[in-house]
Amino acid sequence: MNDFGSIEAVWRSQDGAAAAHDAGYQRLRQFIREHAQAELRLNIAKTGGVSVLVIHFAWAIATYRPAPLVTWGVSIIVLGVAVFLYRNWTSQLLPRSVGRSGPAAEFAANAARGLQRRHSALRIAYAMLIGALLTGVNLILAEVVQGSPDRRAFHHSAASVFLAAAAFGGWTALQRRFERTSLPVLRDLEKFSRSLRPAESDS
Amino acid sequence: MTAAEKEHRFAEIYRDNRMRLIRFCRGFLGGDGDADDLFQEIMLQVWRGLDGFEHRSQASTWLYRIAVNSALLYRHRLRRRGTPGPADEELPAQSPSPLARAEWSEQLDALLRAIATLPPPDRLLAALLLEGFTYKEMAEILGISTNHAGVRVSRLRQKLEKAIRGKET
Repeated sequence: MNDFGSIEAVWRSQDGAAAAHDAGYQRLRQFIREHAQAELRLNIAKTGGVSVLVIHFAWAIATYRPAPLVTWGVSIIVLGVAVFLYRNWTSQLLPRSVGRSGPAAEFAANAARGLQRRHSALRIAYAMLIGALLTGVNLILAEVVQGSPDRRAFHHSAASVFLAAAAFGGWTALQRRFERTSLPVLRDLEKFSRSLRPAESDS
Repeated sequence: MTAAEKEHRFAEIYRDNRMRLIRFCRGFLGGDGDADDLFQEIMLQVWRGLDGFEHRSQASTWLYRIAVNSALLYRHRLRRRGTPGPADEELPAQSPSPLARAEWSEQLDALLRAIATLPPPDRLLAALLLEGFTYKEMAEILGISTNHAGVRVSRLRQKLEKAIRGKET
């Protein structure tokens, strides 16, 4: 047992233990088919949901013909929300094209960088969302309280306080989610990548 | 590649590499019950990547790159779900399933336990080493230099031999 060749022989003795897997090919193909169908359904649901929202929004604008400031305000808000949602979806994905990725050290380093980049992109999208909400709400308020400076000031202050609170809450939630889910993975990938680098004593 | 060609190629890969990949999964996961899940995940990624395989590297290198990278992602998914996966630090040895325990030899059990105590990069290296990959192939799969692979493998051999010898005495 001291010879490493016998250790390899022991390792390969697992063949008999998994004979049941001979019948597994059809099950595997079924799994892949179901996976592809589930992905397709999810994509249809996402695209369908966004399309319905856009059509509904366009229909509401065309039917009620609101004042230009309100139209602009609502459009900016919708755009801000859409960009944020898109970024949010993509930020949750780890690299999907494992089949086209490089060796493990490179893959782990790229995946860690990708997670960090996506988190930064999500923060920018979130800042844009708050900017869009602030601009949109102010444009709508400007239209609603036109001609009454006192009421305008009151509404603007109320909207600013509300948005500031929402921005703070959202930012904190975003950071917490990253720390809870992505950060451990990111650190793990970095650690894995680092641990494959040669130590000084190796060279 | 036509759909029929893809299906044929995939079936070939499955037939030729099934056992090696299952052993690889068991080695990486420490002999617990998730090896089948990981194997399915690897084959799903193989299916997805088959169209893009351009034969720039050997088929086995390409396949094991997918296996190693899928194993990394699988491990992270387990951790995100809160399921304890193979950890970075030394693990208490995980036991094989009752069925596997009945079928596997005592020596194999000792070997799997020894591998389960290794950190993930060494566990991957051990699985590749035991499958008979050369230093050059291991280096290509893991993305390290051939010399570095040699140094690591040499240390790993000593660790495994010592662990198994320890069980025998």
